[in-house]
Amino acid sequence: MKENGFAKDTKMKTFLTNGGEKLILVERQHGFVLILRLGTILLGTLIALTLFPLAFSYFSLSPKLPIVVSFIFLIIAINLIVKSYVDWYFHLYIVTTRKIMEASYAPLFSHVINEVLLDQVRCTEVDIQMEGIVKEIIDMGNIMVTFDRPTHQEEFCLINIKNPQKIGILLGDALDNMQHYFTGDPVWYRTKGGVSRFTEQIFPRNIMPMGGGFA
Amino acid sequence: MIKDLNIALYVSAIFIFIVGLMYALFYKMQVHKAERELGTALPKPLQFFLFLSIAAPIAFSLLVIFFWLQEILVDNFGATSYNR
Repeated sequence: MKENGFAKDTKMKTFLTNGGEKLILVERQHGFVLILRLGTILLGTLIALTLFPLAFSYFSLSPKLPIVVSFIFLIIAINLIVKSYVDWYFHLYIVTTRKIMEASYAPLFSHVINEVLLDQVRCTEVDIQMEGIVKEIIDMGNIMVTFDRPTHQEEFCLINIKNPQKIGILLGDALDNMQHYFTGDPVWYRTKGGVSRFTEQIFPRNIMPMGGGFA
Repeated sequence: MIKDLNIALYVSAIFIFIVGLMYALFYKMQVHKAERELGTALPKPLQFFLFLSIAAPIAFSLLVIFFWLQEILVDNFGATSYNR
């Protein structure tokens, strides 16, 4: 997927919306997250398939009923497995030379895209977090990228990523390189009322404005 | 009571067939849409499970139809190998 900091997979061109934009990183959550979900579904199905026929035999009902109900449980289990797998597969963290983005597609259910334009913010911190013995063993953790944007959430989090140390260092280097091209302040400025003009249209009026502007 | 249960079984089978199949088909459409938007194809195991989610309601309906036909055969021809 990655070579010298740039992604080999060029199929993600959908997200390269700006001229000269290059893909740096595309990551999914660690496979353990998916295995955990699938394991829970399979365990629940197994319990249901074991208990219900016993209950039916106890009440001496039609013998067709346990077969039919078991089939229904299997249909539900298959659909849940497919949904869990697809949700995991279509949950991506994408870093390009112009933006950092989280795309989460759950077909028929939700469609979420969180994006931070890197030429509008400054990255102040990249924190890597791995807590717990299980996460240490399977090398899974979180990466928190802190930006200086007081008008919105300050942290962009990559949750349950494989190789968080390696990716965190790669991300830090990439963001650091991008900062050299950052000139001037973001496109928001302080008005006489103390509210930034750019964000006023989107966010509530009582948000702290960014410094370095003009009225 | 068994007869009522059989009726409930057949009605629920129709319901599950319609709802299950519609859900699976709409879901597959949305998955293909997401594949196009992201520019990435699903892996083969997942494609198999997606096909299974469409085939399962159909198989379920066939099973219920089989049971229904079995009931008809027993009622009309009184098969002795089947104990009620």
